[in-house]
Amino acid sequence: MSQQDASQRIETVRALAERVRALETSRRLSSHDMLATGSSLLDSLLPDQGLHRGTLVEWLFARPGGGAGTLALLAAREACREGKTLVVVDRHGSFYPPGAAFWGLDLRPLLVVRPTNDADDAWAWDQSLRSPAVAAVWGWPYPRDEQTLRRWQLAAESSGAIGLLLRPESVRADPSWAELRLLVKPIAVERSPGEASRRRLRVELLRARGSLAGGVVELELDEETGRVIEQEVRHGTNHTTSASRVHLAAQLAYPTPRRRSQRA
Amino acid sequence: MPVARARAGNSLATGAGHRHILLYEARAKGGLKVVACSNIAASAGVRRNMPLAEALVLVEGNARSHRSDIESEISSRMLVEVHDTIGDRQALEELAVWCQQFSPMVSLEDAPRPDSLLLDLTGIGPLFGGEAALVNRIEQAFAERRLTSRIAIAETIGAAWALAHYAESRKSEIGNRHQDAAAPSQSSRRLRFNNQAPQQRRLLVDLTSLPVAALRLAAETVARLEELGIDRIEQLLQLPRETLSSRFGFELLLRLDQAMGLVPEAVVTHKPPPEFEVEWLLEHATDRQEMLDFVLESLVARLAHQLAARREGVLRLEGGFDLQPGLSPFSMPAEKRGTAPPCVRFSVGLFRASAAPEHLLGLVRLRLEKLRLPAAVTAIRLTAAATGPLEMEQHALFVEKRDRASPRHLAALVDRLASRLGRNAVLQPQLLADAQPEHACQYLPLAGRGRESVSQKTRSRGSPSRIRESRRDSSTCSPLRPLQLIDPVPLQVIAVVPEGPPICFRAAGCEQRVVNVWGPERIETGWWRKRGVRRDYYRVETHTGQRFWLFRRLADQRWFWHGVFE
Repeated sequence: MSQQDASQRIETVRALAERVRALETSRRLSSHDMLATGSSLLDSLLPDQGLHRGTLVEWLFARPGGGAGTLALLAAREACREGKTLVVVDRHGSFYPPGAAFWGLDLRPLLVVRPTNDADDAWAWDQSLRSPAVAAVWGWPYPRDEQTLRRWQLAAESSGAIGLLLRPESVRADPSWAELRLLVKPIAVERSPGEASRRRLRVELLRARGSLAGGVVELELDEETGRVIEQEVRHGTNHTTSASRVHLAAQLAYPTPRRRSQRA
Repeated sequence: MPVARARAGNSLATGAGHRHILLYEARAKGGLKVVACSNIAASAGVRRNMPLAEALVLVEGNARSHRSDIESEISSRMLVEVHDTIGDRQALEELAVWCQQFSPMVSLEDAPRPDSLLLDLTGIGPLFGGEAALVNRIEQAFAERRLTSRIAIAETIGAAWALAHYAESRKSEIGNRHQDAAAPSQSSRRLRFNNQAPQQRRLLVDLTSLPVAALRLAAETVARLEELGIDRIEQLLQLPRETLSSRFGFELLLRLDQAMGLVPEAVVTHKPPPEFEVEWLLEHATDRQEMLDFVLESLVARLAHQLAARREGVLRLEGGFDLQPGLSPFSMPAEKRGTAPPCVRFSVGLFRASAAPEHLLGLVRLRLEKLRLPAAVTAIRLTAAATGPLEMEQHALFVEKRDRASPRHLAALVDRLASRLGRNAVLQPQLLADAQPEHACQYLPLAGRGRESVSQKTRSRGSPSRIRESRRDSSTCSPLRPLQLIDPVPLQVIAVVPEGPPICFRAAGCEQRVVNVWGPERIETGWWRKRGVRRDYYRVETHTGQRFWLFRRLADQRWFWHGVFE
């Protein structure tokens, strides 16, 4: 394959992606402004440098205690800056507000809803996302069918609320109406006894509606100050910067050399 | 009243009878002071205005000297609570309504913290076989409600109040009219107001031996009089009348004249809040959904109209369906067959007062989705059990729609969620300054609060622990805590040294090797609760990067999993 062909393919893929994006985002309301995630590194991973109000965002986790909830909560904190309400749909009654208070969440506009069955859980999500008084809805929804998620997405779109869904990694292959699908994985780093308490997380953009996915960032949460560490994180023996993004377009454009390099 | 109310409320809630009851309040000067106490606590030496810490020592010492009680038993028989003045007033208002069976004119005394009821008995005595019989009957009725009372009948409100509070004998008859019955706590008096000269003289005789405080004076005035050596009313009467007002203020002369009947004072009848209730009796019992829907719609519209006319809105709506008895006997429990007509009740709580029929009807319908009617309906009734003033909203011309409607929309959301999920499923968390993780947060239901404050309802009872408890502002520095707190799960943990941190454990279905550990954070608290805790908490990071919150119970060195840093 010549260099010219390859560059043409990249251009074609980009042009097609732009058209798909234009089609998918054409109905988005213009008044729904952007939101920061609480981490500029994470913002840089996202196609529009942030989250859109009136959409659903899925935070996938492989195992409990992996940090996805905290990252989603930081985004919820940003969404509630204007004083609107954050709704936590807590199906199992295990949500612990003192844990949220540490990360700077204001508990005054916080509403904890405790449905007792799956049907009520879905209904509570729907009603909360539909309310104009709500800035964000955060929780662990049960595995939902496509129709329910579509209904939630329309509800969020009508009100401008953002749905932050914590879902297991097992749904990563399922179709989704979410604007973004992010996979959060914790990375265990052995610390020396006197070292500051930090938590390293790897976030991968699995899907972005109307845009190209595939980027990865690593960031650290400082558990002493409750802040996200924004500097470049070095890890492993290679000391490579982890804020690099690998675009799908490049993978599609250079399929064979890429695989070869991976094998090598 | 405060002690009786606390006793009644707690024995209903816990089923336990508390011997020692202490009610306290925080004062600007002097910290926590005892406001009221039970008789047993008083016999142990507790007095009003005593520091609470001193009272607690006295009560605990007394309990130990009588019996060799273990600590938990002492605490279970002791009730220490914040004095709730609003609750007392509400209870007294309810009692005033109940006392209308004895007299049509009942009022609360005119005081910042009323503890007395005033009944106008003019012409009432003969209906009950004389005033003495009436007093006995009232006393008996109060006793049946487990309330002790002090009763006095006099010609003026002031005289009756003085006799009920300060007369020494339990039953002393003065003339043919005045009686007083002595017992602690709950005061109530009936009076006959008749402003005639001969009775004034008799009143003077009656009251002169009483202390000056019997004239319903402010505490400062009483203190000033006592400083001057004027303890009794007779000493006060010996002073030149014209100098009293300039020396001790206008109030003293007014109260004196009111007690003696020189200045009239009327009983202003206490009116209970109006009841908003609508009912529809069906001529033929029906279970047709359309019919019931139509009736409900009409009833809600009628109720909303009644409320809106008074600028009131519903905060808690209660309803009931009377069912036709015997129509479907198999759907009813055996013990209920053949008894009173069965009734299915429901309740809807609201976050903000509302009198909008569409909104109320929507909430009722949501609630009814979960209700099963086992038989045909014969009557439907709706009651506004708690109401509040309607909030008026002025619309502005140039404000964006989204910004303007937020509080109203939040109220609508809370109402809808609470209607379907239940009042206790829509909550607002509030942090508390308690070191024990399980007690560091309380949840307040948002819908249907009504007139009573939520903090009263959710207050924990029965231990002095709450003395130290206070709300914690979420903006203050919080310790790192997990986002999920679970009931402690026993764990098999391997540690290098017996009292050291864990190195390996099994959780969430797999073996977890600990990579990093932070701790211990020792939490040793709650001794005043039934079971105090002594725990060493560790934050652990496993080889997979997961973070858990574990603790070792120091009593038996067992490990538990308590939270997940999600």
